[in-house]
Amino acid sequence: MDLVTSFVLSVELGNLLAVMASGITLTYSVMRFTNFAHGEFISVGAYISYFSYYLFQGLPSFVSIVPAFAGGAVVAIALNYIMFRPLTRRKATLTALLVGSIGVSFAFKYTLYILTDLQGVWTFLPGGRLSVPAVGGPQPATVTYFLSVPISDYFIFSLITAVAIVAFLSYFLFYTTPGRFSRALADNPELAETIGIPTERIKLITWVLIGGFSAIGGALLSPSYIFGTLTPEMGLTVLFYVFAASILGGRTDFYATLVSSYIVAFASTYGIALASAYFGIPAALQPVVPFGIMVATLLLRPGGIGGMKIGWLRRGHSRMDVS
Amino acid sequence: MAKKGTFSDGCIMIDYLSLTMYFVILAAILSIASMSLNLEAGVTGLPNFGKVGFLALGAFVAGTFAVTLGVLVTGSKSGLLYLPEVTSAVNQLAKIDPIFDIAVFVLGMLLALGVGGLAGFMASYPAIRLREDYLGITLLAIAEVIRLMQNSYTSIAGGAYGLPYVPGPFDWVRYRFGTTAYYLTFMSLALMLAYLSYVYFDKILNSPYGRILRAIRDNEVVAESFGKGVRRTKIEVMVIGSSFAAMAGALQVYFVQSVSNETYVPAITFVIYLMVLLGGSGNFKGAIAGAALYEILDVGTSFISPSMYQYVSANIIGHLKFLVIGVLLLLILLYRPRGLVPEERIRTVAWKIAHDRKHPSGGN
Repeated sequence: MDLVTSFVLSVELGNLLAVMASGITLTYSVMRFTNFAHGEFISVGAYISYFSYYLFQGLPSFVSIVPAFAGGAVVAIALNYIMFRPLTRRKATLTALLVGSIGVSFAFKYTLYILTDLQGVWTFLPGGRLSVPAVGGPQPATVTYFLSVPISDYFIFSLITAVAIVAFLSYFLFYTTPGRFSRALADNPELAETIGIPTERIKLITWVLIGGFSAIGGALLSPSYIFGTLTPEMGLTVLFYVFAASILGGRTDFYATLVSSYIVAFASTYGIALASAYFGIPAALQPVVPFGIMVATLLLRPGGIGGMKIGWLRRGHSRMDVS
Repeated sequence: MAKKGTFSDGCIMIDYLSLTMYFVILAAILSIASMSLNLEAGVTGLPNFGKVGFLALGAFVAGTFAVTLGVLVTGSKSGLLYLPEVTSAVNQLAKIDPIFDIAVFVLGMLLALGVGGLAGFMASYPAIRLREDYLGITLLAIAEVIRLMQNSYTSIAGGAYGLPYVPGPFDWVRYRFGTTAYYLTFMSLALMLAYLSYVYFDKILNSPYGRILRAIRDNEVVAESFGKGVRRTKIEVMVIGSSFAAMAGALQVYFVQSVSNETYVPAITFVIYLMVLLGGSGNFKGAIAGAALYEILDVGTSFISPSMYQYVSANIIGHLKFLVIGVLLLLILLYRPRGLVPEERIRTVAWKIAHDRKHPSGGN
């Protein structure tokens, strides 16, 4: 792969990571826990986009982000009602919440596996199966050449989506009433309830945004084939890249998450290419790069790049204090 | 987790005795792993989401060591441990030579114990610095790195090829006295090791040291302010837990007699977590009960599968098992957070004396 193509691919990966990582950042900003079931929102979005490509033939393929948003939101609300709300009401520990989110992740993922293995149900799909063929998948991208650089329509769309979602979430959390409520909720749940903030409704709105946006990320990810063909395991594979982006971004700052998504994307594509060219490290070790970024950030600079002075990136008070 | 070759070929007669012993052995091995996780997560409050990595490490070390030793003894030329000619040469040796088998086993287990402890020491670097959720992610990542490294380098346990054959400690028994005798000897060995581990862990828990562990879990600041070395204790717990996990991994390899990369996926960590939570975290009897219950679930699904294959595909049963595991994790957290065997009070010397006075007949 030549340099230009790999550059474009890295930027596209960065866009997608930003979309999905903003969901993780929002989860941490409002709920203050790490959601291991986040990958399932991504998988659900990816499957819905594959699904709707055949369901709505003729319409532009970007339309699939609308059902993807809805599907992700439904899954997120389900997660709230079966795991998050009952556990927080029982004053469960942080570890219990983590294990609970893993339980939910198993439940969703293997339900998805069972759905993909069902035969004779998905008659409108090629081969009548939900399993995606390994070669020559659907949703071909329309490639245009801009100064002889191949740019697919998915690339442009993912760029717009990433910037729009990050800008929207920053605006939402800092300049709208529900956003302010949700920040108050994050800081002190009891106090927020006392002063009359409708905490349950705020949490529900936040879950809808988390699930919906992450599913949009998944919907745009599946046609790019960056992580290979679509399987229910894709969410977990991507999850580590997404965690790395969110942690490097400081976990509560959306603009920093955007920047760190590109850092993670470039590090994982170029870093592994350089390592295999000069040190003979196998390219299959690519997932080690986000792991390394994640662990190094946590150990060396737990605040991520969000706390650094990046001048033009700082929007006044766009970083919340991590208690 | 393991291959169940007995079932794969439909309607042959099933040797129920060997089968029962097979599952008892697996339960014993898993109970060592779940006790080690219980020490870390249940008693000390370190959420080790990378348990499978330490199991894998023990398995890789023990497997590589055993086959390499076999290659050295047989004088085979090839350095690739997964080749059929190497495998069959080592197999020939293991069948007839009890001394080789037992030496491989003992040394391999000790090696796994040491390497596991070393890895635990390294993994304790994040463990004493990070909060629960970050620690969970970090250890999960470390376990995945171990798996990916093994997958990429053929020098570690055959790489992506795995090790198709590892000499076990009782291969000569199987060759001389048949399968039932083999299972019987291995079962006694596994049960003995599980029992010794239980005694050891129970001793830790019911000592002043065990009370420090619980104090760290319940309130780290208080433990620190009472002059207990929290950092040092956490390092020690990680070392102990990881070395026992590596030992369980090694024992598993010597039982299933092969190493495959697909065995050590992150999901296994949460299977072990389920055992701990199911049995009751903070209680080693519970950890054993959890492993036994999980193995019963495993047996159940294995018996269901062949008879159900005509209705649904084999994949769906496998997926259903993990679906059940996820739902069970959730249900336990919601409705029975203390597990089936709740945490007991610590049996200190003073408490024992008082207890014996109250119940002089020695009743519990």
